[in-house]
Amino acid sequence: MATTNTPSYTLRYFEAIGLGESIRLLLTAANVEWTEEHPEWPQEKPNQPFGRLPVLIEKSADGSPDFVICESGNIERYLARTYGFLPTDLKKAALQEQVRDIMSDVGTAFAGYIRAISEEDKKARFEAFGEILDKYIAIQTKTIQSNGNTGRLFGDNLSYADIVTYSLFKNMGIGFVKFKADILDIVKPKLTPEIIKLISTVETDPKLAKIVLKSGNLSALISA
Amino acid sequence: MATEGKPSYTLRYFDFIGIVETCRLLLTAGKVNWTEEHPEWPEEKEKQPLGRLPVLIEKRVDGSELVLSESQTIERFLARTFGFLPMDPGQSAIQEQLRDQQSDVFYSFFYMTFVHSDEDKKLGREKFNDLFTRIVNIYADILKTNSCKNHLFGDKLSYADMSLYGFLKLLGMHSLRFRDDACELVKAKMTPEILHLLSSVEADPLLEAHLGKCDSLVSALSE
Repeated sequence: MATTNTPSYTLRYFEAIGLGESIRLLLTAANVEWTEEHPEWPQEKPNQPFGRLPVLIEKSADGSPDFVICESGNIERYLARTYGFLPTDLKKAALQEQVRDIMSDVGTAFAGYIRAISEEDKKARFEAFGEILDKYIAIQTKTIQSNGNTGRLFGDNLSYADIVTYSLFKNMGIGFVKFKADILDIVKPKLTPEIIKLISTVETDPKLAKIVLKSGNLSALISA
Repeated sequence: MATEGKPSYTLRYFDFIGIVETCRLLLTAGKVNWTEEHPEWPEEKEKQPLGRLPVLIEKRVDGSELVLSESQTIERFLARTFGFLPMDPGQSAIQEQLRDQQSDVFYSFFYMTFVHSDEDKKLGREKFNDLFTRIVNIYADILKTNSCKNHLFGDKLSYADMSLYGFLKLLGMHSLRFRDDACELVKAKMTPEILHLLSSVEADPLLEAHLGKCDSLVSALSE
């Protein structure tokens, strides 16, 4: 239960799932006070430390200056470490962090596909995106299986790796629809039972109840 | 320097500077036994955990192994293990965000280089210019506020110092085969303070074993 000594947070991002979702889930699971700002864009671009979003502002309870950091992965790791969703053991943490890093590669591959103009380019980039997504799903599936097939990637509790994996699939199923209307139809057949179980485990976690379905019910969409 | 009892490391990557120069610097500064492997590619692709490079293998004295992928994860793991990132998560995040932003700059660099239409190239160039200028200004501001001008944070070699060096080395010295103005693009944004910092990194005894064998980044960016 958050006390008056814990910091409060502002997340500045667009009104989208995108790279903000994992941060929202971590803030919620951490049970801290937080709000979200959606700056006018691009008008507010020069006012951000790196000219980009997301930005996290941590306000301490004792009035010391705000702590401001950028870069979505960095913000996620900071919150995950601070609130116990990444292990303190460096090796175990690294095994979870690489899950997030490869996730960025999937997102980048998708962005490359969206940008492609010629039919030839579109085809090649879509294949590249499919290949990396398949690989990602295969690795995650194996990890879930070796963790006792409980719908979690590591250990017995909601972890950083679970959260970022969920957010990736939320983008694949809901967030990216505005870029490719049939993305869910393409991704659904690729989902293994283990991934589907992870999605539902995250979506039913009491720590996330306040917020997880606000951006949509992914389990429902998948089973439809 | 005693390395018995310490793990040894293998870094698997292609035989070029690429995205792992920072890893090489960290392994060197960590004063551990390490080697580099250059797997046949793409023959060895499916043998890698994520089908990609780099891969880091840490072999402990008891025979156990940790295998990691993803360059940024590997960098942070090495930096934390060897003490080049602060223990405090907030202070660490301040250094990590700089490296994370570098990825966006790389991406825009390669995007502007490989798109086809003139319009795409123009937009790509503007975006790269915006991101690269911005990140260099951020580094310059950090140097201004640090009382020690030989380092970005504190008075010792840090992850931030090494990752800036690796980043500028890739863009400024080893991207000429992609575009022949790469070095000029980087040079144009260098300040005396940043070049001084790069000189300190280049002269750091902790990095002698590796940088002693390489051409000087500072010379490349100064001539």
